[in-house]
Parts: sequence; C-alpha cells; structure tokens
Amino acid sequence: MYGRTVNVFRRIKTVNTHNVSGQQPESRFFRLGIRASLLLGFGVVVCVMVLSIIASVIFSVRVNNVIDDITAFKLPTTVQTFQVARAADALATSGLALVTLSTKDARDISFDQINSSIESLTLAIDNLENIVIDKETIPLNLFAELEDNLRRLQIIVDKRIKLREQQSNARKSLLSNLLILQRHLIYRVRILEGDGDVIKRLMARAIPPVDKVATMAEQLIQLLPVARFYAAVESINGRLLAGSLSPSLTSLDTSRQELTASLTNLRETFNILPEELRRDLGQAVSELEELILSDKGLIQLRESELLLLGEIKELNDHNQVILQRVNTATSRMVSSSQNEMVETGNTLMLFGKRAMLILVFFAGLSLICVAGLMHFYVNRQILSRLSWLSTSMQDVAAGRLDVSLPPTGPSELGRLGTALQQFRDITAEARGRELALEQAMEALKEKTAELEHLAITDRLTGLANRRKLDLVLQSELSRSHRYGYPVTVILMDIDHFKMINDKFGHQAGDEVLQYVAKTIRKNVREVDTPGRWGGEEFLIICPETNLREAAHVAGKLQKQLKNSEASQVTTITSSFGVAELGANENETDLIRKVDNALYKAKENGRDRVETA
Amino acid sequence: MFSALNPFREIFTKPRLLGVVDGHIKGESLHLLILKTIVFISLAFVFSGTVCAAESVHISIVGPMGGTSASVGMQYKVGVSAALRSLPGGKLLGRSVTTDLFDDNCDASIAEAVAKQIVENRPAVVIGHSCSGATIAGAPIYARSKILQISPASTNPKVTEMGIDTIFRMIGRDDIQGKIAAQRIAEKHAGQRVGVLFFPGSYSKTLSKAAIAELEKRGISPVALVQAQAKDSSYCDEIEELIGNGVEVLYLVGGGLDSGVFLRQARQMEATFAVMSSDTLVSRVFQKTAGDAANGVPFTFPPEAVQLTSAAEAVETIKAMDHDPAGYTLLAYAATQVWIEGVTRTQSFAADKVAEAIRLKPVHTILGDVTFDEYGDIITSYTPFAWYVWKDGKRVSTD
Repeated sequence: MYGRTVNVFRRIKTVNTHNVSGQQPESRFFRLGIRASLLLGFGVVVCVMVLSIIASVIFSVRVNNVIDDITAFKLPTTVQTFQVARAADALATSGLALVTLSTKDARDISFDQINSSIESLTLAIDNLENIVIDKETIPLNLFAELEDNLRRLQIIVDKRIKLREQQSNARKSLLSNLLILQRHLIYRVRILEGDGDVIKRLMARAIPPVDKVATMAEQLIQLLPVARFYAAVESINGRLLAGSLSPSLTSLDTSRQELTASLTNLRETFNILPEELRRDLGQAVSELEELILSDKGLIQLRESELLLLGEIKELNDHNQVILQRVNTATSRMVSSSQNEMVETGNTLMLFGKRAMLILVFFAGLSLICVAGLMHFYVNRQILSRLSWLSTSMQDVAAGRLDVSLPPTGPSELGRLGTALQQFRDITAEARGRELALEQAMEALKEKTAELEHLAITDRLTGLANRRKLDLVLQSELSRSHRYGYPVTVILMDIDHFKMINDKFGHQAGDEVLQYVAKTIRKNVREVDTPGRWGGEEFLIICPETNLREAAHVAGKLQKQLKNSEASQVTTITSSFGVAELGANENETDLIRKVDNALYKAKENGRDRVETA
Repeated sequence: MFSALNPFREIFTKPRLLGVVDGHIKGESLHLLILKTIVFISLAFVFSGTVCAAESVHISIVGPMGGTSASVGMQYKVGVSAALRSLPGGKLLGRSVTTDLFDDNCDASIAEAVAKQIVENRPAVVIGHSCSGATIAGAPIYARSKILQISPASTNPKVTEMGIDTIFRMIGRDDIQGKIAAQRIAEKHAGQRVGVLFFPGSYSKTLSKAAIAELEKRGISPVALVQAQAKDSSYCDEIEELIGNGVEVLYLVGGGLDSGVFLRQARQMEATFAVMSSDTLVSRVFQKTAGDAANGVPFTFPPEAVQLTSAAEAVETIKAMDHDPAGYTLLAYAATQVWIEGVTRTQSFAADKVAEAIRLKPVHTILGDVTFDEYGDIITSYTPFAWYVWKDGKRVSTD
C-alpha cells in the first residue's frame, strides 16, 4: 500500500516540475488532498477502535469463561455446602428448643420444625452429592447421627410433656386442696386471733369479767391446734411448690426429706384437732400426703422431669459436638472452593487490569492520532494554507504582485495555488499595458500644452504675443465692465531701437528685446499681463489698477531700463504711454488712447511717461 | 356517584394488569367474572333488607358458665330462653332469635377477650356479664361495635358511669345500699350517734360515702368514721374507738370474713351500738365467723323477684322448663323483655335507637313497670335492696 502511494507521489512530482518557478511545489504530505487525508485519518482511528474492540471482546470472553466456571460449578458447590451447614445448624437449633417445651401445641410446632429441618437437610445433602465430585468429603455419618439424636429427643420430649401435664394436674389438685383447707381454717384462725385479742383486752380491764373470759378461753383452747395446723399446711405448700421446681436432683432430695418431716408434723397436729375439724379436713389431708409423696406426687414427677432434662441436655450437647464437626467439615469444603474462587478472581482482576491498560493505551493512541491529524494536517496545512491563499489573493487583487504565493500542486489547495498564480500573472500583464498607455497619454498632454504655449507666446521674449494680449485685453475689459473695477494699459516703446538694430545688428537688437522683456516681467505683478505688442513695442495690461498706480509702475520701469546695463553695447531708454479704460470705451478706444499717450511721450522728447 | 363508578372504570381501563396478575385467566373472561361478581354484590347490598330478613338475630349471653359461680351463666340462659318463649312465633320483627353462650370466668381479662370474640358475631344484644369487673372490661368493646348491653347482675356503680349510652342493668347499684342504710338509720335510730366502719376497698368506700352523703342530706353527721384494715387479726382498737365516741348505731361495710370477726369481737366486748350492714353479710363465712353475733344484724340485699306477683307467670314457665327460677334467672328474663320492648318500639335492631326507645317510657316487665335513667340504671316500683337478718342460720326479711 505504501509503495503505491509513493508512486503516486512520484507521478505528481513529475507533473509539478512544470510549475512556475519561484513558487514551491507541495510537499508529499500536502499532495494527499483533503478527502484522501481525511479518509486516511479516519482509517487510522477506525483501526485503533477495532483493535480496542477486539481487546475488549477477548477480555469479556475470558471473563465469561471464568464466571461460567464459577456460576456453573464453584458457586453452587459453595452454596449447597452452606445450605447443608445451615440445615444441620437449624436441625441442631430446633433440638435446643425442645428443652423448654411444655405444651402440646408448642410440641407440635417444634416437631414440625424438626421434621422440616430434617427434610431440608436431606434435600441439601442430595443436592450437594449431585454436584460434589469428591463425595468422601461430605460427613454423611454425622448427619445420620444428628438425625438419630433428634428422633430420640422427640421421644423424650413426648415423655416430658406427659409429665408436665401430670404436674399441672397435680398442681391444680394441690390448689383446690389448699382452697378447701383454707376455707375451713382461715376463719377459725381469724376467730382464734380475734378472740385472743378480746381476752387480752378484757383481762386488762379494772374488773376483768373472769367468768366470761374463762368460757371464751375454754372454747378457744380447742381451736389452738388450728393455728399450728394452718401454719404447717402453709409451710408444706410453700416447700412443695419450691421443691417441685427444684433445679437439681440433690436439691429435690433435700426438699423431699423436709417435706416428709413436715408431713409427719402435720399429721401429728391433725390428730389433736377438734373432732369436727378432723372430719371436715380428713380427706384433704390424705390428698395432700398423696400429692407430695406418692409416685404421682409432685416431687416424684419433678424427679422424672429432671432426669429427662438431663437426657435432653446430654443429647443436645452431643448435637453441638456433631454440629461442630459438621461445621468444621463444611467450612473446609467451603474454604477450599472459596480459595479457588478467590484465586480465579485475582487472576481475572489482573487480566482485567491489563486489558484496561491496553484499552487505555489504544484509546490514548487514537486520541493522539486524531489530535495530530487535527494539528499537523487540518490546522497547519489546510487552515493555514487557506489563510495564506486568501491573504495572497487579497494582496494580488490589491495590486501587490510581489507577494510570496502558496505552493501549487495537484491537491485541492494546490490547484487553488496554481489558479492564484495564473491570476497574478494576468494581473501583472494588465498592469504593464495600463502603464504604457498612461505614459503615452502624458506625452500627448505635454505636447498639447507646448503647442498651446507657442500659440500665445512671443517666441523671442517669452512674453505674451499680440494674439494673447488681444484675448487678455478683451476678457479684462469685459470683466471691468461687469464688475466696475479699473483696467489700465501701459504701452512702451524702446527709443531709437532702429538705430540699435542698425548699429549693432539684429542679434544685439534681439538681446535688448529679451532684456527689456525680462525687466518688465521682473517688475510687474503676477496678475499683470505683459506682452510684445509688435516690433519694439510692449503692452502691459494691468487689471484692477488705476492710472496713477500704472503710471508709477511705468515710471519704475522707465528708470530701471535707463539705469541698467542691459545691453553691453549701449544704454537704452523707453517711452511710456499709460491709459485707463474709460466708461463706455471699448478695446479700440483704449488702444487708441494709450497710443496717443505714447505718441505724446515721443513728442515730448522720449524717455518719459505720459498718461492719456 | 362518580366515586362509585371509579372502581369499574379502573377495572376496564387496566386489563393488562389484571391479565398479568393471573396468567391463567384470559383478560376478557376475567373482566366478565369481575363484572358479574360486582353486579351480584351490588344487588345483594341493594336488597339486603329482604335478604337478611330471613336470617336470625343473635343474643349473646355471657357470664361465668363454670367454676365457683357456675350457676349464674346458666341462670342467664334459662331466663333469656324463657323470655323468648313469649315472642309470637318465636320471631322478632319477622326474624327468628338465637342465643349463643360465652364464658368469662368472672375474670376481667378473659371477659375482654370474650367480648372481642362476641362482637365478631354481630349480636343484636349482649345479656351479661355478671361480675362487675367483667362487665366493665367488656362494655367499651360492645359500645365501640354499637351493640346494646344489658347486665342482669352487675352492681358496681362504675358500670353505668363509663359514658356509654347503650348499656343498661336490671339490678340496683351498690351505692344505693348506702343510701337505703342511711334512710333506715334516720328513720329507726333518729337522734342517735352514728358511726361508720369501712375498709379501703372500693366497694366499702363507695357504700359508706353514699351513706354519709345521704345522712348529711338528712342533717345527721356521723360522730365516728373509722377505717379498718381488711385481714387484720383483731378489730379491738376500732371497737374501743367506736365505744369511746359513744356511737349508738354503726353502719358496717366490709367483706364477709372481716365483718364476721368485727361483729364477733364487738359482741364479746359487749359493745352496745346497733349495727346494720350490706349484702356481703349474706356469705356463709360471715355466719361461721360471727357465730351467734350474726343473728339479728340487719343487712341489705336485693329482694327475690320470685316473690313478685308480676313474676308469677314467668316463674311458672321456668318451672315448666324444669329449671329453678332462683338467683338472676328472672333478672335475665326481665332484661330480655326490656330489649324486646325496645326493638318493638323502634322497629329496629340498631343499638342507639333501641337504647333511646328503652329510656323513652316505662317498660312493662315481670319486675313490674321499670324505667331507666340517663345512665341506664334501673328504677323499679319495689325497693332494689330489702332488709334481711340472719336468724338461726336462715336469712329472713326484717320488715
């Protein structure tokens, strides 16, 4: 691909050798053209992008494979192991709850819980067996033992609940027994207390009613054992309740001994109760003895319960041991697969980091490419060249043709450069033709001015000729008539000029004439028009000048000419006639008047000024 | 009208949602089903009057059905059943009447639970409870559910003082005993020095307060108000205090055992003051404790309705049913009569309307014409508490 591009460049180069000299041909880079180079730039970016995408695809495929491995095998194994551990835990925990069971409802709930725990454990173990390859790692024997323990616990719990029911019934019996005893005893005790107090009060009187007190006392004596009996009943009840809740077999044994002693005491007291009371209470007392010491008595029931609780505790303790072993086994399983997963995760992370770096690198590269393209090509080459082109075009259009022009070439901008080059050449050519025309025009103008000058100028003296004087006189007269300001003419004649001519030749005569003309020009104002009237006569037209002023000028001239060394041959004198234009006078009248004045000056001896 | 339509609109504008909820039922058939159900329910409500007319109306009977006061609940049941026999065709406002029994064990906390169960049955009336504590626990629950309650046996003043409009009782309030005792003191012991012995319990305090109030209304000021502690071993101090104050007549308000010990000691100490007391003296433990001292002490107790001539027919009915018209049987009978009369007057089972109708004018019952005050306490033509004494182990009327 690269070689072909080079060939293209080469061809372009050969074409370019025909370019106008002085203008640089495009460099190789320029020759690519805007479209081609943009395509090239985009191509590079696309290539980088494709590389990036390929890198990310490779990365994601790798990640997918790893995740597949984790989700399809490792994670389920771990989860199932957890499930098994949790199910075993739940099973063992549901065993713990059995200790506190006391009602049938609670038993049913707990047993349901145990059964469902066993079910979920079985299910979890089955699921795990389906997944795990090394089946030896599953502690199946432990689960079996756990389940067996739970079954045994259930049997014990059933026994215990039965016991609790018996206990509850026994307690109820005890309560009603106590109520019967109280019903018979309390009011008698109150009578005993009340009567006793009354006897005390009566005996405290100044004259105690001895007979009455004696009768009361006699009745009261019969009741005395009642108080003792009631106290015994109360104490037995208290001890029995405490004993039936004994926390251990030892304390239960102590309670039993105490109660046996109390019962003996109660029986003794009962025997000395009044006959009537013995009849009322006989059955209740026998029941009380039964409730305490028989096989169905509260103490015996408590003993059985304590034994059962011991068994339950033992089983639960064993369960805890099993559970610990299960936990150790499962956590070993979990930790091994966990380690694998962590390792995989780490590898993946490393790979991810690398992939990220590659992606960042490619992204950076493409960014740099785009930035480079923008800077080196678009900004520096296209935009600055465009700017150069436009500036040059403006310069050329403004006529500054010597500016440096952008390079020419076959690219879009190169062709624009060529076009600009042609434009400048054409402009330069047109400029040359225009200049030649201008010069010709100037020459013509000069010629015309020269001719014009010749037409109104006396050739010898350079002063206005007769024709010019006529024109000036005519225009000044009309101006004077229109605006009413004075016009004066001075007519001068060189005295004895014929003699000079004759004596010194025409050359000398011409020199005198030139000298006089020079002197006149020097002494008149800018606005005055001196001219050669003919032969040796000069006429000076003085506009806006009255007679006196003009005479003064004439006098000045007369003196200057007379005193000058104008001619190397001789001194010259001149005669002057001065006349001012009168009202309603025309040109002829004025010339006539000044002629007459000159004549008068000639007449009066020459070398003087005469006014009309 | 629009709010009633909105549920329909929602159902019709959200077919997809319903379809998603139950994927097995197609949207359209589900709409049809719902529409049918709604139409059916609406019709059921519109014609509820006629539909429900066929249903029976319930009476809930609640009281201690077992335990030590076993008989009370059964007495209620017999009384109510006997009263319902008087209904023509056994129907009230065209509806048959059924009874349900509930046991409150005479226990406030059980009564509260039972009351919650009862209101779920939506009975038209509750006949019960018996023990005042149970009645007080249940009453607010019935009131909240707008169910009429008539207690045949609760005597605690608080029962009708809880601000409930739909509760009535067929028996006199405890505190009336105090009033009646004061009346007796004023009449039979005019000019004598009066003493009152009471205990810290609310029963004792309520009665003694009522007695003192009535005495003071009659211009009698007790010379000694003595508070004793229940279950004290001896009341000699209190007796000496009363004697020391020269008390000539004593109103004694306390438990049966305490009153027995007190009277026994007073007799032994040869106290000369006359004693009168309240219904607690009816207990056997009082008799046993007081011994001979129990004889001749007048005490108040609700009279046996059996002896009322107006109750004769009812007594016959109950006996024909092979039951004994003792205790609260006749009061339960009368309670049922009151409710039936209220319903008949207003032609409605609504508790507030029936209660209003009951208060409106006297109700003719087997207890005679009875009226109810704004609290729901009964006012009878006969005295709500009569005077009795023990005489050789038998309770006999004094007057």
